[in-house]
Amino acid sequence: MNKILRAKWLVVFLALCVMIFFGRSVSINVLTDNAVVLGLGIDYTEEGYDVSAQSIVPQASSSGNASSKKYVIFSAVDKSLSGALSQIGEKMGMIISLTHCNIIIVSKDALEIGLNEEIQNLVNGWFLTLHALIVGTEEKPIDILSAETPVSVSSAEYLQTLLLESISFSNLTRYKVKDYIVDNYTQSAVSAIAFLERAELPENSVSSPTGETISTKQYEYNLTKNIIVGDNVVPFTVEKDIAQCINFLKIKENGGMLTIDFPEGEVAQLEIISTKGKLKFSEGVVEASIKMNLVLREFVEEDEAISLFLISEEKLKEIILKTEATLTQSLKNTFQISQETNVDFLLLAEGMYRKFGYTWEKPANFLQNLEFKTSVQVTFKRG
Amino acid sequence: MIQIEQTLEEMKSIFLGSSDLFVRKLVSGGTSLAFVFLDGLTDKDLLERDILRPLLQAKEFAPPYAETLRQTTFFSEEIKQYDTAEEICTNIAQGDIALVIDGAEKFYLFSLRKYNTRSIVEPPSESVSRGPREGFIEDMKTNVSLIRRKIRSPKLVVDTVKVGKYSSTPISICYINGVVDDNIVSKVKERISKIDIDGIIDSDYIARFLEERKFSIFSQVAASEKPDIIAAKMLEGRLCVIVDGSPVVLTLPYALVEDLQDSYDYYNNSWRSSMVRAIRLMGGLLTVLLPGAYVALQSYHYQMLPLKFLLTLLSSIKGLPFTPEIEMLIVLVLFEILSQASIRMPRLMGVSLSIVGAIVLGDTAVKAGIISSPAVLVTALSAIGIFCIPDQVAQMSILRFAFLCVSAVLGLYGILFCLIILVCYLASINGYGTPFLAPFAPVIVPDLKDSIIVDSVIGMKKRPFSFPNKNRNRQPVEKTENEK
Amino acid sequence: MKNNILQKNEIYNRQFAVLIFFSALIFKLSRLPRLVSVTIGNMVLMVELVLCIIDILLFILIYYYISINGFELSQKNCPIALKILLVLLLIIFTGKFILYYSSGATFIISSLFRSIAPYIIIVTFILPIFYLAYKGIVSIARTAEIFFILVIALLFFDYTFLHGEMDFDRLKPLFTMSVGDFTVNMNSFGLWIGDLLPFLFIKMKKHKFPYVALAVPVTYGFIILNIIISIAIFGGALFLIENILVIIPTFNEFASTLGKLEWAGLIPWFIMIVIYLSCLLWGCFEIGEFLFRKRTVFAGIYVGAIIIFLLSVKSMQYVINMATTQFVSIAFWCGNSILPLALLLVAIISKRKNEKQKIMPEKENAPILLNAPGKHEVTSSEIQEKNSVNSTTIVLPAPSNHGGEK
Repeated sequence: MNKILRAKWLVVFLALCVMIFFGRSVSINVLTDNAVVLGLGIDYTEEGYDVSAQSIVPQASSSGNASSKKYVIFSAVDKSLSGALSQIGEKMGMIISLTHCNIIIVSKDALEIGLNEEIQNLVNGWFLTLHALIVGTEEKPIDILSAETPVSVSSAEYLQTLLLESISFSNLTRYKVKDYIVDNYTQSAVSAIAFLERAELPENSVSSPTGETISTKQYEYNLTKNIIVGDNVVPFTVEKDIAQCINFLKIKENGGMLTIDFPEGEVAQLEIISTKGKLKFSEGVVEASIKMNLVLREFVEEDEAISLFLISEEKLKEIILKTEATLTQSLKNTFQISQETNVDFLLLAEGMYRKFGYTWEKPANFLQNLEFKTSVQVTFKRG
Repeated sequence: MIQIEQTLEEMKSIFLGSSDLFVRKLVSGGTSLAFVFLDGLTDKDLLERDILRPLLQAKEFAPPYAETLRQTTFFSEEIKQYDTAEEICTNIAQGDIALVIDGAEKFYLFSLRKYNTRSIVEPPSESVSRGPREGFIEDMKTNVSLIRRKIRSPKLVVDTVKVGKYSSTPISICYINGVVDDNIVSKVKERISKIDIDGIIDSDYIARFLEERKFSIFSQVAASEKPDIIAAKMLEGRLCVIVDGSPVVLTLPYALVEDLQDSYDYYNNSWRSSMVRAIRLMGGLLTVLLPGAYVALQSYHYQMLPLKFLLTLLSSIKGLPFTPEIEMLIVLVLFEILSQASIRMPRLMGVSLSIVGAIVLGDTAVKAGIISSPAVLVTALSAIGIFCIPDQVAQMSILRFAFLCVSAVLGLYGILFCLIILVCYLASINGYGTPFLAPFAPVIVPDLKDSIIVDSVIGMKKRPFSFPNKNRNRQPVEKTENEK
Repeated sequence: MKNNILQKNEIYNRQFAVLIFFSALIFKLSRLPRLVSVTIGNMVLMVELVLCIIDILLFILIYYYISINGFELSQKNCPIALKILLVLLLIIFTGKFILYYSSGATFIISSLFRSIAPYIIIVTFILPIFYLAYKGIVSIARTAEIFFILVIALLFFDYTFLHGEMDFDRLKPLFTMSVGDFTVNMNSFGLWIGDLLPFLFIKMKKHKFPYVALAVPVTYGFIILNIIISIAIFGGALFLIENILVIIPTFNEFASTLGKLEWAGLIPWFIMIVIYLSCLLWGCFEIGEFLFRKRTVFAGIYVGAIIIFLLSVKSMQYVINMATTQFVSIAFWCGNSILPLALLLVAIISKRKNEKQKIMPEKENAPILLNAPGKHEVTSSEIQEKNSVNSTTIVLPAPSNHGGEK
């Protein structure tokens, strides 16, 4: 038998051996054995972590149309997050996959005990993506996940739409797993997370394509507030304007609307085009500055909207000044809350550390002894 | 001295009494002559008109017989002489006519070969939308003439050798003297001369002997059925090997990038040609990698899929009885079966069977829940893409199975490491002084203008640097200021 | 037409530039940042900067060594000194290879598979590396050239559409400890210098365009830029990131439509690690061939021993952790920095000896076989045979003279 023929038989033999070897030693993972988790809810009770997972269960369709799918929510309680997830997987009879989980709803109780290491375990061991959003709530996460929403059957999908697909036209806090971990390794170790409040929609406000009204309860979500959490911090919420100030100072991409109220009852509606927030640190002093580019969308005077082209230059200047004053006051209020609660959610200690180096030590009553200066500069045009 | 009857008996016994051996006896000028030839291989009309008739009419037929024959007959070619009956019988077997003269010292040979050949048509495997449509046929002389019509230069050298103990197949090595490297010519001649085989039926037999790496699935010799392609390659500095009985002509040296090139690229706008080459390359890569990548992503790396696509995929594969690896293997094998059947099936049944194959097998199998529609789509893309580079169909077909098997057990990691091994293997092949992956590895900048991006004919002033050449200039090169 | 014939282990400077890019970048960028972050916290940038500077200095030595044909001269004139140094270098290369290999394999196991037996990856990962190393540096260089286009295209895509919410203030403060403490902690990172040492054994065919001179600042600049971007994105949580090259592409504008773009970082990473490890292994094979004469036997035994070692240790993470232990790290510091100096010294001494003996330097375009000491001189018929088209030497155009009939 010549060399070439021998080589061919050898290749066939080797291929067989390799296939048998790998066939026996590598377990084939079928995609349909995986439960694709869209949203995760984490609560903390006396028994441990109460974890709920909303997964998608696609229905068989030869055309591959994914519109026929159903959502299921399973939950389990265990001393650890991983234990609870494993139990959920056992209940479902599938392997839990967090790779497409973009929303984590965490209860106030769970946020109070801190989830830094647990979330890191989810990232390393369960392939949770660093881009998953964290949202805090006072309610039970499972109730949020199981709530029906008008935009989508899945609550997790609705939240994703709210937070991820509306970046340019809303100023909601988009706090990711990565941000949560990163902020925990700062001098301040405090996070400002989006706070979810659920409100029931009025009856008859949602109807089906056939014209019938849907009788089950439908909810809408309000994410304008923030919840402040951290090491040794009892979580508390802050209102929309404070949350906005935090976002202006920490995040570059800001959108949404600003409503400026005048004493005479006039209202100016401004759209945020871009913001640039900066904190400048010096010995004992922090200077917070915001530069904002706005567009005037609507001006209401005596309950009547005024044409933007008829607004005088003096009125525009007044609007600018009022906007700056409002934002300055909001900044001061933000710092005041930080001082009163003694929680450094603006990460001022981290800023000082970065400025002065490793020799800087956080003094006692750091926030109380800190001077906070503000500077707001607004430029805008008519709509 | 030849005794005609005895000699004729000897010749008949050499041919073992073959019934197609004809003997035509005659007397010319008082001398007994006999023409011996094989029926079906000679031009009997020319024999009768230009040789028999003059001889029959000759009044004298005396030695020297060679001179007499030259003066008497109307034969334009050289009349060869042989000493022994064995030698002359070998030539009779090739289609020549032997003349046995009673009392002569030698045998005389007339080459009046004529056999039925097909007409020059466009090769079915290399059809073009623009450009010459001639194709080689099985007759070597015709093929050589087709090349001579493209390269009308006395520097076109045609060296003919005979290979094959029983077939004595003539093989011509053609090259342009002063352009092709002498080492390559001598190497090819040496290798052909060393071939010891019973018969050569097709040029592919010769190709196997000319390759550097005999175990490789990749051919290291180019082949084409079109004279314009062969002539263009010869003008670039390659030689060609024409085998009698085969319409496929070989060229050497060879680089893989040649399979990406087509005559269409040079007869069309170079912008369009560049785009088409990029698409061919993409088609080739998709063919080989797509089935494996699909299986790898499904089985091991679904986290890389966008959510919407993942959901669509889940809906499609829900309820299937097979794992993605088995499913893809089934679909690929089905396509291979279809492909082989379509080559061999009778034309009358071709259309209906194509419908059965494509629509029934694909669509019905999906509806029956045996395979999924993404798998059919992936395989269809792969099956179509394979013909973007027709000369590599065999190799790509094998490779896609290999990548599929590897991805089934090791996912994307397996595909990557196989790809690296494959590229390294290709990069290490050097044939006749030519790196197989030139001009990409090593990067040969001047040759890049005829790789994926195609320069126009005006811009191709130099012959390729990827293989040895004696003369690099194809067009006058403009002198730089310094040279002036 | 003047055809240039490449000698054994001779590559073009363009190919060398590609290899520099892959080799210098791969481990400094993928695995080291996490290690530094775990070991000494937030001083990743300073550590990388120092290591890059040391590497550049070492590269200058290596480049000079290559340009004076140090290996060949040392073989002829100082074989004993060379042997001693190469034995030490082989130990360094072996340690480096095992640690880097383990590092790569653990990443593949943890990130690409949900659950796979480590021995499968250990056994399969060596296949492309061994194949490339055995084929030789010319094949490795050509393979790298082919994949360079893909790697650059993917890296370009990754960084052009990077959308990472970077806060460059996270880079501050640059120093989180005193210079003294920093210097002491630098002891842990001896493994991560001298990545370009395997190229001591190459010969370089120069081109008038300074590819190598361009590659060095671009490569190390790219490393530092990546570190800056990573710190700007992750700050103090950099220890979380197992492989920066793979995680950066996930911060991409197209991630929402194209899915998790890990593959856009994984593919370049895998290609670069295979190319670099094969260069390292090839360096070991060159040393083995010089010391023991039989390349194939040495290659088989060497690689077999490494695989058996890795299969028998309790875990590869244990092996990787050894890299930061004091003893191992200091050994690497010494080996990676002193050995190139010593080799260069030997080469300079050999060169002076060579000049004294008035041996003619190699003629341009004459193929000269690399003779180990003790072998016979090459005859003219052997040279002719080597020049024939049946050989593996390549006939390529003169780099500075594209065409022109003589």
